[in-house]
Amino acid sequence: MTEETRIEPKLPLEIFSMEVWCHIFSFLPAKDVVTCTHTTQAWSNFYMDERTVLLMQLAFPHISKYLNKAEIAKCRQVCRSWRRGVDDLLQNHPLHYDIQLKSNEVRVAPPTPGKTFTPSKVEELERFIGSWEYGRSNPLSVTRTLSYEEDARDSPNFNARVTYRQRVAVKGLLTVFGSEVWHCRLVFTEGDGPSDLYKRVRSYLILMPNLKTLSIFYAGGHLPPNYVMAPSLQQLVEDEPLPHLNNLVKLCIGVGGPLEFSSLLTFTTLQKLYCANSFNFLPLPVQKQSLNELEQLHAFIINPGDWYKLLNVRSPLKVLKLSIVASARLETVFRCVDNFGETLKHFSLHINIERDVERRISKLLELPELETLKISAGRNKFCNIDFLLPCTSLKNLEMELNVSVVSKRIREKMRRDTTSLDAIVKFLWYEDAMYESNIWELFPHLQNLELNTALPKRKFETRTWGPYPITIGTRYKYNREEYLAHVQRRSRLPIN
Amino acid sequence: MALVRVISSDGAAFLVSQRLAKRSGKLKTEIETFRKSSDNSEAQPEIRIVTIRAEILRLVLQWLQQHQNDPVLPANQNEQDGRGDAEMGQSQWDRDFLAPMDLGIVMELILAANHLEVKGLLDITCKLVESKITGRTVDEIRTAFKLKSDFKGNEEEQTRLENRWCVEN
Repeated sequence: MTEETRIEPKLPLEIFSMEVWCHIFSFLPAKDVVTCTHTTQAWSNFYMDERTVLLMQLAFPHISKYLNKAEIAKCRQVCRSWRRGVDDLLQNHPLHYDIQLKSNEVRVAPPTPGKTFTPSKVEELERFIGSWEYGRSNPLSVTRTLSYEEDARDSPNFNARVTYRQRVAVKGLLTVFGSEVWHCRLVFTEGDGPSDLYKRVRSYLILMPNLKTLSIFYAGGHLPPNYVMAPSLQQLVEDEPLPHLNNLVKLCIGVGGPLEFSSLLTFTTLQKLYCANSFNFLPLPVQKQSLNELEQLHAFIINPGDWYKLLNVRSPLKVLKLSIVASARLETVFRCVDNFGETLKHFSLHINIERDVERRISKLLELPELETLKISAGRNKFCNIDFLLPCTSLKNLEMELNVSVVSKRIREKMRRDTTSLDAIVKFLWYEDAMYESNIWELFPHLQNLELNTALPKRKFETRTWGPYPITIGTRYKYNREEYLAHVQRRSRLPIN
Repeated sequence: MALVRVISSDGAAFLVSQRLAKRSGKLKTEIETFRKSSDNSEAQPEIRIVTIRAEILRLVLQWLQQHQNDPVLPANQNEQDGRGDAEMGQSQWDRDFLAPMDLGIVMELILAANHLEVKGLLDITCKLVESKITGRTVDEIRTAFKLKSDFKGNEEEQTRLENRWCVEN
């Protein structure tokens, strides 16, 4: 760089006055402004004066946990910066996007203020659309969340006329504000055939082109059998495809038939998918046009055909949650999961069926990147967990399983005597003495180990077994720190 | 006693015992990472916290010192169960500790406690801010936080109308 072109560094106030900088800062996210203000004295002074404005945007996610929704809404009225902080939290709340590994249910709506349009509120909606506020006040601007329930049953409360009025009202609302909806939850009650439902949902989705998350569910839970994909429905999907929602990252779908079929074909940008449907999990065409960006999948395995479909998924999954209702051996599960060996970090396996004791599982779980594993085996038992050996990155292991009800003394005796089981990982009979096991050495990254032996119908009851009280359901929690302390204590003991 | 050097964003260094530092989830991880990467097991770890200035870091360490014998609260597993029970952990000492603080400092403490993973401190500071919001009018909140309304034109009215859709549900 020549002498002429070198630009001498200047102090912020030599470039612009503080008013101009304030104006520039007003366009930046609070996080970036705070970073800037750490650099020079002039900006630092600005930071000290404006802390309660700037930091509220960053601190609000923590503070909001202590506020009810009226108070949260009130914070929007304080100043623009606070409003931005509240809106950012509500519109981008992680609960909109995450598929939780811990709980057995996926939360489809965040615990945030929002409006649910249900059949009983149709008059309210009509009143709004007919009022002077329509167009001036946007009911979706705060949360960008539309939760809409539609009941097409012909009953005294919900008749066809009400349903028709409701559909007209919602269409009217979406025509004006649909492009501002980011998160949509649609709940239907049976009453329509699959093609009618498909067409109606399609007409709603066309009006919401900027959706980021979408949930479509049935209120009743049971799907009518005609929701299985049929050739005529396939033709419908081809003739009237769903709109391309280019921002859609998460889809929760509990409605089978053409809606699910077409969704999985059309929404190729999906990163998170929850398939609650029992019939059509992953239609075969998905294999041709795979979900290349899919990172999280929660699926139910109900039919043997579902395994075949899962085997053909080639997405770079990081989180996988499988709820298995079909009869299957763990070997089959592990073989399917091998597909994701390069990427999978968190795996939750929920087995609902009751089956024989798994004496020996010959197939290893080849997931070297796996950090979290949760197995809910219900009433199943594991005599041997050597199948975990390739999971060398494992940090958290949680198992819910059946444990033989025996006294502590018998358990100790069995630990001494059962080397014949030739298991590498010492697991069986160690449930209440896991610090004695070699599991901590075999899995050097293992931090937490939780064993929950509470059986569904017999939670934490204590019975007597001969002279000894035995707790049938017990939650054992172990961690590496206590293990290290245990090792240290043991090394201090005098050798006999 | 094993010590650790914690350095704030503005370069002030604090020497604290490793036992105390490990009550912060973040510092604990940093110390362990240092141990793994260092050949000399006796070397003193040095941790630079680039987002927290000295005044705030001193307050966090002071709070940790006071609560060093408390049981460690479990860290949040996820966003769903983030809320702790602030009342349970709040002692007279905590109340005296927070009482003279400006709300700006309290907010800095919230962010510092979150960054350093000190759940007890995060709970009591959040609860303090919550108490300055709950049950107050918008004007009272502005006074408490020394804020001015910067809404232009009919923005404030607009915001009020939008809020109606959130609250009446």
